[in-house]
Amino acid sequence: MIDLILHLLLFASIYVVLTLSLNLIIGFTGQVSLGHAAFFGIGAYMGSVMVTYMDLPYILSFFAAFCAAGIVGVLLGIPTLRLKDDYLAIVTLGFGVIVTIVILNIDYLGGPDGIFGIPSPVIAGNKLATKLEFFIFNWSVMAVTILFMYRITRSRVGRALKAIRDDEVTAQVMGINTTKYKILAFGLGAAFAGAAGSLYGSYIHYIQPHDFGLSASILVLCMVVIGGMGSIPGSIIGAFLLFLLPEFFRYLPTIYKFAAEHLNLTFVADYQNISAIADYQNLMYGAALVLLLIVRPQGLMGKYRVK
Amino acid sequence: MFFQQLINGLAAGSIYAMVALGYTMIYGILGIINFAQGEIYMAGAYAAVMLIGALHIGFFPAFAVALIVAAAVGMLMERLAFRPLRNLNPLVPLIAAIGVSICLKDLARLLFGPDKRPFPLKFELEPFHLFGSQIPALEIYVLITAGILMTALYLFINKTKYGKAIIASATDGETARLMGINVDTMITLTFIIGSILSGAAGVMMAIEYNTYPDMGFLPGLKAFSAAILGGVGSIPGAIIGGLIIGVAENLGAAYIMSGLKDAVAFAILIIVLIVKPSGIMGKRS
Repeated sequence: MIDLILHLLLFASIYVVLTLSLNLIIGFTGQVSLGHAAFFGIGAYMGSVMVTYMDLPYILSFFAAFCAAGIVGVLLGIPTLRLKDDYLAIVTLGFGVIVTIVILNIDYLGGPDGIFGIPSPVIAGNKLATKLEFFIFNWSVMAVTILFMYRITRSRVGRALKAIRDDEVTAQVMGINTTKYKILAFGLGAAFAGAAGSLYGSYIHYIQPHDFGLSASILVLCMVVIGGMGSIPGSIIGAFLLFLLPEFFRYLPTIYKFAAEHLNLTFVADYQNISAIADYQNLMYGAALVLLLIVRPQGLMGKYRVK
Repeated sequence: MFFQQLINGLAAGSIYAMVALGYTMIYGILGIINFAQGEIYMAGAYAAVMLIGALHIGFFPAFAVALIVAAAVGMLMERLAFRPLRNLNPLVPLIAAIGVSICLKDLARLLFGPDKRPFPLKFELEPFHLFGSQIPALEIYVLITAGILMTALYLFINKTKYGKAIIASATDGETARLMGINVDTMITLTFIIGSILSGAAGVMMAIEYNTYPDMGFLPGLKAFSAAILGGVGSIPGAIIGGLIIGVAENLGAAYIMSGLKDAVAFAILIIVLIVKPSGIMGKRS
């Protein structure tokens, strides 16, 4: 049970890093990205190839994943960031689909089978083995990311980004090099997504192209919007909530069994009913998403600023 | 070989174009991307398959009922999810549409099961022979049906009072309201028309391929690309965009690499948008 809780918490921390990285692009700079999981995937593949096929140290692969995704983000940003809202959305969406398909067709990267047997990270001579060690490592990375996001959004750079989000023309008139700052935000967001990818690969030891497809991009986008665009605590809550909600439905029968056997609790609903509820999880998940937006369109922690 | 691929591409493209028309009309009037358009397509396909398979209704009545089902799904979607979210950041209705899409897919899975269902009727049609290559008759019929529906849409939009009211609401909702147009009704009507076209596309696709809860995902995505490629909000643009994507991916699969079929559509899209950001038929904003 403890292992399960640790597993869920450390997995959620990967999504927190990913959500914060997307929030920097969408929430703070106002640029839409529907292909964010592609950067997550680029980081995961970069990191995994380096430790699995090239036997390089983990720390090096972690930074390589960070840089590779960041560079791709900048390269994608240069031609596309002059596009507006929906056009940018579709270009990034297309980019995400293309990255998945290209990885599927590269034999070195395992094609549809992906990469397996990715070794655990070795940090300062210690190989991470238990869930607790992974938990400490992932949560440290998450803490650094949260700190970084707080610092950058409250700096001169962050103010420039928010100015671009609120009114791009005015920002330009005020002397902000909007192109430079938009590319910077896109690159940084992509780089942190790449770092999250490296964490992901090294924790579950197996990656495949479909982990980084459109559904992953959409999940992260939902985390940002539900949490509240432009809110750091919002992203953290959004990531935890949307990651844990389906897991909760999935483990509902297990939790029920555990409670019934160990805590001597009796419930009105019996085990069969609980399992039946788990079958409706996607339906409830989708309905909850729509309802939440109708009740609170600015997201859980967002300020009322939605145009 | 080339001619056959071209017809394949045009048939697939006309399916994309019909779904793209739904995207583009809804975008034109509300400024939102309805990500659940692919699920309306799925609903139309399921309605036809279930009516013919389980209730043994003839093909044409089933086709008509499927269109009504699709229209009803679209109308409900607008009422429940989009009407409360008007005039907000476009990302909010976008996420709501994703929520609706998850719901509808899961509803289909719960009602009809996750299995792929083949079309319950078999059409024994002689293939056409044109320019020395065999063209499956079904593709010709798909092209003709799509042509009829799109012409009907064109006439409706340009020649009737309601069509003009839709254009007026899309151009400037506030002024249209002042002129006595009920903009809410026009939005509902737009959803109904878009859904009928998507539902018809779904039924035609279901004849040739299987019906399953996730079937709307990829065609929906490509239709969306087609709408943007043609210039979002433009009706001829959506048709041209759909045909270009259908033809390009079939030729790409035949002459470059079949594994890259789905990437071709998006690669073209990105290149076109970088060169001409407003799309092929889009106006400069």
